[in-house]
Amino acid sequence: MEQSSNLTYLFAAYTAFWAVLFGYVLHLMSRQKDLNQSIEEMRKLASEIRRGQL
Amino acid sequence: MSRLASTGLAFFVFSAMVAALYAVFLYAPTEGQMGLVQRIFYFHVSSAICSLVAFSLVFLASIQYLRRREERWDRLAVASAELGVIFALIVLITGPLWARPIWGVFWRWEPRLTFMLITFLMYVAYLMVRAYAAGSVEQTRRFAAVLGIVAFVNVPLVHFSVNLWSADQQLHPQKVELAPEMVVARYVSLVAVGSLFLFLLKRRMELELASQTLNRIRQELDGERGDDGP
Amino acid sequence: MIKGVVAILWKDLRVEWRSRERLGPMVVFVFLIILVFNFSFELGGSALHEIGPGVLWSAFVFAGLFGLNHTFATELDNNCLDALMLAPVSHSSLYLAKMLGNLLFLLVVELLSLPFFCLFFNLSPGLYLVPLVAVLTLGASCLASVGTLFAAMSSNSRLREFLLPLLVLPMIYPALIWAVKATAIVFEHSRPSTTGAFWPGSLTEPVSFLLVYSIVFTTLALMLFDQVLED
Repeated sequence: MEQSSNLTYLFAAYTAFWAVLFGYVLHLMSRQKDLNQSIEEMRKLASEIRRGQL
Repeated sequence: MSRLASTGLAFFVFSAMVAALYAVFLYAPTEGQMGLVQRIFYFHVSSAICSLVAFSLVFLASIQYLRRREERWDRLAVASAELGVIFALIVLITGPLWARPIWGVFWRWEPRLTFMLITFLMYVAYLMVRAYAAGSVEQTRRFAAVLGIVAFVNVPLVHFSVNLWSADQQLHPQKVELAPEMVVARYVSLVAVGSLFLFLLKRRMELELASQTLNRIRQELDGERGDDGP
Repeated sequence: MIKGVVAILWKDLRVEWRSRERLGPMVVFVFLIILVFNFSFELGGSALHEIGPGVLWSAFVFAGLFGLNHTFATELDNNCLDALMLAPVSHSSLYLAKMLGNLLFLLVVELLSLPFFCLFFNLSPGLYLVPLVAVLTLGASCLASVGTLFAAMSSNSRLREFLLPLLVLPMIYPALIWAVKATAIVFEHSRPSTTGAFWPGSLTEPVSFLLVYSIVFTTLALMLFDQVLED
């Protein structure tokens, strides 16, 4: 009985470990996505400028 | 080459993690007194070590940034600070989950818990300085570096004070006797969590490099357009 | 160096004398916070030894943060900071002057609010007040050393005044622990039966920690202040 309730805490702790890291990786990925978006915008801007000059 | 190294590191992290999970859950024997929950120990302690290593990296990188003013040191500082906070958070969550079945409560104002909590809060403040800065980018980096140095100097003082403040609450064992299999599991976990830490650190620094570069290009473009415009 | 420090300190004191923007509100604030504790915990005079030191220091820390926010805010409002940086004084002198100013304000506030505190907690005046003033001075210098450095940083943030407590509080916890401990020791010796001991031996350890803390962070801030004020 004692052991099985222990198991819950063990499970919760390792779940927490992965959940926190997973959340952090998701955060990094969303930042990466924002970054890619800005790069795309800038690429568009650059091609517009080039077309304007031509 | 860098891509190959990155993939290699990712592969290493993955295999080390599999090995660590095997060692923690199957190889290491169940501890006599605490039972299954003692298996939290392996990742809990490894995360604590990683977070303290991260905070030392913030300190070193901050000193280097102020001396040399090179962006790469700032990248190391911000990446380490974020990961230090993440791993400290893991320690602060897994700790109480371990404490509940053993001490009977989630939280005690016990020296090491208090120490980790205060250190965690100092570096949360560090990230806030960066996140809510209003001045130039360069100024933000200087402020962050100053804080990275001051906070790290405070770490031993916090440790010392907290020991006095709740000496009678000391519940962490001062010395741990482990079975040989447990020692193996402990070091395998440390390697796994440590390599995961390094992997994330590297990725975070690359992200920072990309965003720094992007900002610089944007500034240059703005400058050019400003010159051409009326 | 000393001349520059004195000049800036004197300027700040004169500004305060004319505007009275800091001291008055700070004293009232301390008074109000002591009452907040009184009402939230339904304290009586007997609670002195259990939570008195904590109440006193909480009030001082919050009032201190209030005052610290003014350190550079007034200079920024009128772009005076640029002028100050052009003045022929080093940045470390500027830090030292601001830090001493904050220390002085804190000390005055502590001394002015001490009578209220003694009144509410039924403390009769005695010789123990001398070590108490020493503890208050050291505690205030810990707060001023860290706080002045961070005040310069937080004045340039989107969070403005709100950032300062976030920065200062976790940093100040070690000093707070020892200051409260020292104050508790002083109050223990405030009972009439023990007035014989002027400086309780157990006070030396916390007092030396506070001294070390304030020296460490004042030195560190002097070394780093150039970096904060650059541009």
